[in-house]
Amino acid sequence: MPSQSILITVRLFASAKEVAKLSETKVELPIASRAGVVLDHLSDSYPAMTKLRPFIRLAVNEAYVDSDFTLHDGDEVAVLPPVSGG
Amino acid sequence: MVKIVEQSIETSELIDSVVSPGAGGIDIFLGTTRNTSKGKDVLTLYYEAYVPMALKLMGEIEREVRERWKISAITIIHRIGEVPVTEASVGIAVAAPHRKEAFEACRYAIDELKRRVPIWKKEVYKDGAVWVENAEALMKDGGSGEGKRN
Repeated sequence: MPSQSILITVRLFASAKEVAKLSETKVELPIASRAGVVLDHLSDSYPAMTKLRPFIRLAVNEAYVDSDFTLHDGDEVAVLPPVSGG
Repeated sequence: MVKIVEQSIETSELIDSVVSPGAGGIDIFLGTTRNTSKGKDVLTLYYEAYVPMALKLMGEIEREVRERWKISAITIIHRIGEVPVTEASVGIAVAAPHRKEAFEACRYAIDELKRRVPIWKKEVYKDGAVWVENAEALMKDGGSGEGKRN
């Protein structure tokens, strides 16, 4: 099966982390999955994420990406609510 | 230089980090914890960061500043964890040959930090706590959140 799927690390922050009660998880996805699929997974597992979803930005390997970004095995996907630093 | 720290931001260290013989001025911005927010009493703030990505983006802002303005040195420091009322959560120092560049570069750095660096602030009140979001936060469509929320 390894050639048919990829293993992604998902990290959640701030309100996303609180809503899902989860800071990090591994997700197995079909090869060539898009980054947005991670949010589908989270919304399915944690319905409370649905409300937050429209405002989430994604990063892959520490860089912002669009939801159609193609994931690769071993990628780290970060689920980032609107920032409030400063 | 960019840094994320868990202790107080020392203004003397911030200044020392940019002092330069070629500089004619140093502009400092400190963002401090205010005791109110939208009419509510704020007891304290708590900051969280996606540290490696935050450092990358702070470094990106530093590079952009150096490309746009003739400056001698810049330091951007953000504190995470609890930041009590009156204490600084962010400190930016820019030294430049002339003040115009120092002011402009410092303003750019704090504005861009608030827009894109993955750091979050939780306001703690007597009766609860809320994760806030910056009006200028970069949103999903690539624009800013201004006018859409808050």
